[in-house]
Amino acid sequence: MPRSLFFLLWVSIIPKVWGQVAVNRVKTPENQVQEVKQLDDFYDRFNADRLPNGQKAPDSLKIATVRAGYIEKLVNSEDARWQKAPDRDKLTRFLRQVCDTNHPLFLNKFDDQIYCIASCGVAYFGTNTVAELLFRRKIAKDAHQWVLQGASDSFIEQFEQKLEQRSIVPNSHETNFLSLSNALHAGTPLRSYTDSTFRFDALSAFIFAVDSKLVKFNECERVTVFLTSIKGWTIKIEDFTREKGNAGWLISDLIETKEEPLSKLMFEHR
Amino acid sequence: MKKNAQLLCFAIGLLTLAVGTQLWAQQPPKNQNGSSLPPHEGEIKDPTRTELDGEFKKRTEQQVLRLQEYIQIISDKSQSSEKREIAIKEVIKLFEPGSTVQVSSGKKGGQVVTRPIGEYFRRLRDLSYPQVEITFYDATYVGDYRKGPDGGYYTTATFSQEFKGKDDKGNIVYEDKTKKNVDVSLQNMTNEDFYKQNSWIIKFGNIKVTETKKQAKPIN
Repeated sequence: MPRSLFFLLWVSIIPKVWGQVAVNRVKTPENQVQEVKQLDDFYDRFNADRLPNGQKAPDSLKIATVRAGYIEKLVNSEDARWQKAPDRDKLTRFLRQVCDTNHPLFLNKFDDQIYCIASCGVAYFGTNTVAELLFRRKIAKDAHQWVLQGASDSFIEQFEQKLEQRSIVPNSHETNFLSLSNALHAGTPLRSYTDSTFRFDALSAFIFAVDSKLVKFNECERVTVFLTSIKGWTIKIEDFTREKGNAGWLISDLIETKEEPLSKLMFEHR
Repeated sequence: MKKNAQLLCFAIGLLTLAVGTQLWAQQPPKNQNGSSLPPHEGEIKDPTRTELDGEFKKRTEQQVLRLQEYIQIISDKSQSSEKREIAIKEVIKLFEPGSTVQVSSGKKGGQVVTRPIGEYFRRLRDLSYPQVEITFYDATYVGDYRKGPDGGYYTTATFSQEFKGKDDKGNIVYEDKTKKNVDVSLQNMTNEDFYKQNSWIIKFGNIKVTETKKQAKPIN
């Protein structure tokens, strides 16, 4: 029997069986788990719009319990923490909210509630390191694009560690800040004269460093996606390379958020 | 006097009406969109979501099939070198100039190599295995087209490839499985007369190749 036919049979029978059992989700058979090839594929499966083979899903797949089992297979199963508390409970809370019988929640693949962090290899003064860049989706006049929104603080920390705090004597204004001029001519970085509470804006510093060739940009090596349209949650998605089964774009974390998700939160969970 | 003034006003009125009507007759009628401009023969309309999901996805899948056929010809040592060279020239035409191929193991910290598209296909042609067999498995997945800021439409096509490098006797000395993600764009070609009737063309862009399974060391 072809896989897809078996799957269709499964999604049509299970809802009837469901009424007789006391579990809150129906398990998707392991042999029906297939790689999530693209983020669009993830959206279609999360919304129970399409089967793994790309065919339009039957309406029965949208039944809360069946859909919950289907979504559960979009979680990275190789991460053992999903099998025990507290992450298991967190997943259950998420599925309960998304697959609510009366108010099911769906993702809109054409909205702007999506961010991503690109982990990029860079060479900083000859040392290879990783800089993380945050992009957000912008939609204007129906046109979509990724716009650069932030850079990781870890990159800036490398700048900060190398600087020695200096001071300017209080009468310098009387002599046109000559002491400052002299120090700068001698190569002291201007940053040394800021208050200790001063922090670089990471993105501005990164842009300056790349454009002025202080940092050599190599390759973007990994991408982590964050979907923020489900109220109270940020869904973290990563591309898991495996030959088959539970592979491709999968949920690697669920972050409960009380407020609007911030760049800081995404960098913390990258 | 008053009567003369009334006659004059009447005459001016008639004249205005006559001239105005003639001028009006020279203006083109407004078209269905309310525009007074005549429709241009090769006018391009943005494709609808139904067209993008149907016709254009189908055309993209066909274009991916062409790409796969070229890959098989380029790597097939039983084909004449002339045919393989032509295949390289033709396959490059499917791509945007400047497109690159990034090859990675898909693991954190793994090595990432990026090459220009032409170099990638020439290396494929020059592999030192006496026999090479490339097959494509699983259906090609084409994502949803989204409009870009430049007015073009963009998506990605994903397909899986199995590579086998064999010795003279046909024994497999190296094999791998890779997933290929190819940037695809729909471009509006209104400025070029040839494309007036078929105004949206499909072009490939950068490719990301991720190894999903690897056995033995490659010769090249």
